[in-house]
Amino acid sequence: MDDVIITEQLIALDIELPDKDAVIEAVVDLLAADHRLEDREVFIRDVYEREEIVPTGIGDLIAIPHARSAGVARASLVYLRLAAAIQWTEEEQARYIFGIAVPEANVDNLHLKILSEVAKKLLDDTIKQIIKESASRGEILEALLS
Amino acid sequence: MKKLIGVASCPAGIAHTYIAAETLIKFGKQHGYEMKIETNGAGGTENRLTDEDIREAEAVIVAADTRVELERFRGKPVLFVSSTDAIHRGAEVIQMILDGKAEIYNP
Repeated sequence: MDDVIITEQLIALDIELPDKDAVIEAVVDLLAADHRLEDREVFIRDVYEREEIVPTGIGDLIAIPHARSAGVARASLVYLRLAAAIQWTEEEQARYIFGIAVPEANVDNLHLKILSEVAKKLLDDTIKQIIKESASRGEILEALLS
Repeated sequence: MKKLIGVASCPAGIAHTYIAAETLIKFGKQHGYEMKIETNGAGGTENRLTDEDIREAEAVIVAADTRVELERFRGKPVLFVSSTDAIHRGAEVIQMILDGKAEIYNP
C-alpha cells in the first residue's frame, strides 16, 4: 500500500479550527496518525519555510500548504475541509486545505506526477464542487483520484 | 491558429507549477489560443518547448519564481509574471498579452 498517496483516513471534513497555525497542525496530525512522517517538527518547519517564500493560497478559498522535506516518510496528500474560512494571508482566506508532503530523498516521479495531477484537478469545476460540498469522504477520494 | 507558449515553475515544484500552467491554458484557450506551457517541477521538465513551438508562438509567458532557461526566447515578446500571478490573475495575464504588454526579450 506504499504507493497510495491519499486514503479516507487522510480526509477530514468540516473541522472547526481558529487559524492557519491550527490548520497546519491538524494537517500534520492527520499525516502522523497515518504513519507518513519521519519527523513532524522538521516537516512543520519546511512547510512554514515554503509559505514564507510564496503563500500557497490559489484563490477560491483553496490553499495547498506543502513541502518536500526530510521529515516526510511517504508521499502523501491530506484534505482538510474547515467548518468556516480562516485568514490564510493578510489578503486571502482559506477553507479548503490540501496538504502535500513529499520526502526529500528517493522520491520517485510517479508520486510527483500523481500529486501534480491532483493539483490540476482542483481547477475543474465539477471536482471543485464535490470537494466543497460532498458529505462523503469516499466520494471526495474518488473525485481526487479519478 | 494563433499560439501562446510559456514556462511555469515555483519554489517547491510540486503543486503550484502545475496549477499556474493549467490556469494559463484555461484562459488562453478562452481567447482562441493554442496553448503550450512547459512545467519545470520537482519531477523534471515536462512539455518541453521545442524550437518549432518557440518559432510559431506569438508571445511567451514566463510564470516562474525560479530561474528558467531564457536564452531560447531571445527576440520573442516575453511577459514575466510570478507563478502566483498566473494562478490568481490568469485572465489578466492573458489580457496583458492581448494588449501587447509582452516586451521583446533582448538582454
